[in-house]
Parts: sequence; C-alpha cells; structure tokens
Amino acid sequence: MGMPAVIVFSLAAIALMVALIRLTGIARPVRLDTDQVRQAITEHYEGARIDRIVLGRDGKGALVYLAGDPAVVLVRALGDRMSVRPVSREVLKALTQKNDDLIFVLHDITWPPQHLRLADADRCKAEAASLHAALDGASREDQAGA
Amino acid sequence: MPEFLKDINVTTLAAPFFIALIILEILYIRFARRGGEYEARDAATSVFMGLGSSIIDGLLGFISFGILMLAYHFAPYKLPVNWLTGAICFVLVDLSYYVAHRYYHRSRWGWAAHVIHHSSQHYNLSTALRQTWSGLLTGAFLLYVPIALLGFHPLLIGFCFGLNLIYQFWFHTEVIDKCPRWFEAIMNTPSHHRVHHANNPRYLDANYAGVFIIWDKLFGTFVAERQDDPPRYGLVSDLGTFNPLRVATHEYAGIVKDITRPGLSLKQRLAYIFAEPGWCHDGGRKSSRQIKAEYVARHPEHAGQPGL
Repeated sequence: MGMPAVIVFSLAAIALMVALIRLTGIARPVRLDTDQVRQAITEHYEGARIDRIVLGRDGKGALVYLAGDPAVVLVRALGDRMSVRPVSREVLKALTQKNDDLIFVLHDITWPPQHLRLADADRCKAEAASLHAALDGASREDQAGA
Repeated sequence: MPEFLKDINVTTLAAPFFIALIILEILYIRFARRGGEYEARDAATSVFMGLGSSIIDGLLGFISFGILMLAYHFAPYKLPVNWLTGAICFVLVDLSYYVAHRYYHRSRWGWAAHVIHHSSQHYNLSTALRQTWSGLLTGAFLLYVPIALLGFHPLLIGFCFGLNLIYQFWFHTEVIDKCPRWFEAIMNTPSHHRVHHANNPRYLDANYAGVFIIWDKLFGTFVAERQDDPPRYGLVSDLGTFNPLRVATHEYAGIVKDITRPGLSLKQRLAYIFAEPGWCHDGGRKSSRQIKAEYVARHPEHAGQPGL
C-alpha cells in the first residue's frame, strides 16, 4: 500500500469506526454529578476531604475545594471519562467570565480552556472571588511551609 | 537476502486486519455487553495517531535503517537468512524491544515519545494503534544495532520488529480475560498488558515485554493482574483533550517549560530531560517510585506485594 492509499484507508477506517460506535450506542458520555466528582477525587487524591463541589449546569465540569493540598481541583468530563487537574496560582493563567460562564485557562497544553456554566453572572462573580481566596490561602500555606 | 523482505512493510499489510478486528470488538462489546468500552473521539484519536506514526516512519525510517546498515557493514560475519536465524533474530529483537520499552518508561526523554501510547483512558484494540510520532527522536533504534553487529541483516531485523508490533496488537483488549496457564507463563497476554497500561500504583512501571513476558520475569519487572485491584487505564495525570497535536507534543512542551525555569542548575535542567518521568527539583510532581512509596505508607498491609 502506498502512502496515499494508507491515508485514505485510515481516514475511512476512522469514519467507519466512529459511525459504528455512535450507531451501537456503546459510548455513554459522562454528565458529571456530585457522586462522580467524589469518585474522581477519591481516585486521584486518596483520603482527601472535599469541602465543596461546584457543579457546572451542563454537567461538563466541576470545581472542587479540598481541605489540604491541593486546595482546588478542576474536573472535566472527557467523553465517557473524567479528567482532573489541581489548580494553583502558578497553574492558573487566566480566570475570566462571560455571562454565566466562568472560564479557566491553565498553563497546561493538555487542558484546553474550561467553561464552568453556573446559574447566573452573580454566581460566577461569587465563585471567582471564592476561588481567588482559596488560591491565595493555599499560596500563603505553601510559603509558610517552605 | 530473500526478495520477499525487500519492500515489505508487515504492519501496513496488517492494517486492514487491525481495523476488521476493531470493528469485531465494537460489535462484541455491543452484543455481549462486556469486554471493555469505546468512546468515539478517543478511538478516532488513537487511529489518527497510528496514521501519523505510519506516515512519519515511512518518511524517516531510512535514518534508523541506514544506521543499522552501517552497523551490519561492520559485522565480522554475515548470517544467512533462514528459519533458524529468523527465529533467533525475532527473540533478540524482542529482548531489545524490552530494553527500549523500559527506557521509554524510565527516562523522560523516552517517555515524551511513548506517553502517547498510554494517554487513553480506554483499553481496547484501537489503543494499540495510538503510537508515537517521535520515536526516532528517542534514539531507541540504537538498541537494535548490536543485532546488526551480530550479522543479522537489517531487513530481517525490520521484518521481525514488524511481526513483534503485529503480535502486540491483539492483547490490547478487555474482551479476553486470561489465556491458558502455559501461555500466560511465557507470552505477553491481554492480562499482562492491562497491568502495563494501568495507573494503579502497584502496576506502574511493570510488564514491559513485547512478545515474551519472560523478560519481565527475568529482570524483575513482572506484576500479575489482581482481581482485587482492577486496572484503571491512562496516565497518572490524564489529558483533558483528544486533540492529536496536543497528545503528540504535550510532554515535549512540558520539558521545554521545565528546563527554561529560572534559577536551575545545569544538572537540574538535564534531569528534567533525562531523569525518570515525574522527577522534580522541588517536589511539585511525583515519580512512580514516590507514588508507590506513598501508597505503601497509606496501605502498609500491601508492602512487599509485587509492584510495591
């Protein structure tokens, strides 16, 4: 098989496979709830105590406050799985708000900007303030520890 | 050199069978309601990574082949190609694969290329095709130079390497639980390789074998799959994207970010490139050894078990 044939064959194979997975319905996209978020946290931070979970309305993301290190964790639904990232002052590149979306941009190319859809714009402002307070607290603890 | 070894790329020839088996696996999971899971974007990323790998290998394969030919030129004795030398070459290639694979996991430079193969949270036949785009950069092909110096023709080495990769396809599955005991004792199997793809602390850095699991048993890296600790697949820190470009390059980006940090010594910068994955000068990340040690500290009753 020449290179063009390999490319055409592979792209056709991808299309066929994706169609088959969708048609058979074997993939079940995750819609995050508190139980799933707790499970993700337990798997990644065994024994961690969860202070608070802020779930996105669309079930695609969550912001989790922990008692300890890390103090703040992002959870995102990734297809039928979940992925988790600790958030710190150093990792957080930008936190912006657009209507009822809180948008997290991390210094991490494996983590595209994450939208956390909340109830309304006021809730976004309140969560942003809580997050900054938590990150400042964690940062102070790190410095004290060092 | 037999003509059939020229212009033959066994992995490309096997591609239609790979796709056919993936389709069969999807149908099996659908109708048997067991045997693993598929996610469309995850599987598409895996096959796309395989396509990229084939293209890059096709374009740059002459470099590694050229170096093997150079080594073969200096071989004091050129072995004939027959069933016996073919079989010996296959075993030697598998041993070299074990060493290369161990290097991929124990040095961040190797890991930066190989992490792609472990970046899916699924374990199915499509995962087998999720291959690196930067294998040449690792220099791991140099581990096959001794085989050429022994007098095995590079075309035979390449052929055996292709067969090795083809063998490795079928065991990326949860459809098969355990194989017959004698087979599990000698050969790499779905059960052994599930352990290799798992991020449970006890399973990290285990079962590097390609075809023969005996290498892991000989060199102390074998860990058996346990029913009381089912494998969780993926990375210690899973990716948050299916984007193939990010999947292919993220560890290199991490290396660049780390070595350009201010205030590091040259030794620390080199360690960020070549030390074990997770090495960190300030304890901000953990290597698999540290992850295992912390797990044992939390679960002292598991201390001394295989992998811990």
